[in-house]
Amino acid sequence: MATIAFSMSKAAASMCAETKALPLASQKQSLTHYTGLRASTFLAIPKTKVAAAVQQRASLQIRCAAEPKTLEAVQGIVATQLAVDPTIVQPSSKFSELGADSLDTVEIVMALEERFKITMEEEGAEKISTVQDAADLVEDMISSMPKVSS
Amino acid sequence: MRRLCGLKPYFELPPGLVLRCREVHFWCLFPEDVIDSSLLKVYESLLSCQERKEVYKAKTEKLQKERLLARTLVRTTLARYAGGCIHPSHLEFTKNNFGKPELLWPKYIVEKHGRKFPALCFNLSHTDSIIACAVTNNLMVGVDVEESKRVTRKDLMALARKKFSLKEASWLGSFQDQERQRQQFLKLWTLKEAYVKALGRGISGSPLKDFTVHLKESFWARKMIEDATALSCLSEAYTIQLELSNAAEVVLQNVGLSHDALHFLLFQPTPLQYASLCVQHPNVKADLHLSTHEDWKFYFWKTLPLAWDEPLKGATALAITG
Repeated sequence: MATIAFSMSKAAASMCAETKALPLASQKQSLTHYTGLRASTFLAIPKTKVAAAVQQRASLQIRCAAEPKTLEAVQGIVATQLAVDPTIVQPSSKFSELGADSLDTVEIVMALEERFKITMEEEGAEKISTVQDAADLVEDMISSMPKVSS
Repeated sequence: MRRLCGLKPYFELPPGLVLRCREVHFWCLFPEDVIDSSLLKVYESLLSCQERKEVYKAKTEKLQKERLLARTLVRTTLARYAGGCIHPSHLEFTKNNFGKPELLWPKYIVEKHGRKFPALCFNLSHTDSIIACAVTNNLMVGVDVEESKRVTRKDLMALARKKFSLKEASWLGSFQDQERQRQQFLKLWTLKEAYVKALGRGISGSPLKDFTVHLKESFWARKMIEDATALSCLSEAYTIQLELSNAAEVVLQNVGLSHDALHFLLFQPTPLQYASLCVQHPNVKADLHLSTHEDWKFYFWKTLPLAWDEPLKGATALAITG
């Protein structure tokens, strides 16, 4: 799925971060329902006037959940780095709640870069707080890399 | 001497202990000392509702215990400096714009005692084997602890090239012995982390690449360490010097500090950890008008909150700013 990227207010961005990933089927539903919303229309509405629920669902359009394979790979990398049981590494799990300190976070970012052959820019890497965030960022990086023609 | 006092609802300073303006107090707790699970229940009762929720958000029991002990150490330690007037559970905390926790004395205390109450600054760090809390009287402070046996999964030089300054990476690369290189990496890491935490602007506010920590073997380091701390010191002690990029200088200026304002101490609370303290040097505070450079002191305690505390013995200092 294409990622619709536009800048959001910090508050809106933090709401996205807390949004749990929905199964793909229901995401498709919300896309159909809100297709009429243009990005500029959304931004023009002051945050206080938009019902929180609407904003939350609309924000799902913005960053579509990463592919299950990506998420699985990220979960594995995180579980290995933090030496925890992979079953406790959920998409919504925060790195800090899994016991990651700042050095672990750097190593996780490096492991993700190696595994997916990408470079995470500093700002993006600092903003990831959950496993899902990391998977989404990986997908963003992959999709923004120039395609190599075979 | 250990003081087995039984559980006390209020806390006093150990006899004769005050926090003077030029002092840095380092308190630590070793989770292995906490063997009584009923004590953990008591600790839980000291926390705020929000803190308890945060504790249980951690995904393993070990991490939950670490978070619980960390909050307990902060609350019980800071309450000490209120001379027994405040129950640890009454302390309130806020965060600065970058998420650094700060202490708010309860209103009823400020109203009663006014400006006589010290403006405490503190910082917290914890790993598997130690929880550490550093406290000062209105001096910016950062502390970072690491397990001395920690082995990174990624190659050390790759990590250094990614996160450290060029000079630091080059210095690290000069160590041929793998084990020595690993130790130096961890020491640098804690020093840099302590700096970022002291500044309190978050990692994006003070990127690790923007400043260089120089460790130099020095004949004078030992004397400086002895003057400032009561710690034992290896004959091979280092001085620490800080070099800032233009960007890092600007960050310092934005928080009202001069380029030589932040000083470091690197030490080992036990052979199992490295610890770094980064503190705003009291001489650089305009309102104190101090003339000498040696005039600050570090004190170190270990504690089992509500049970005992004693001076931290057996710690070794490795390096100091000079």
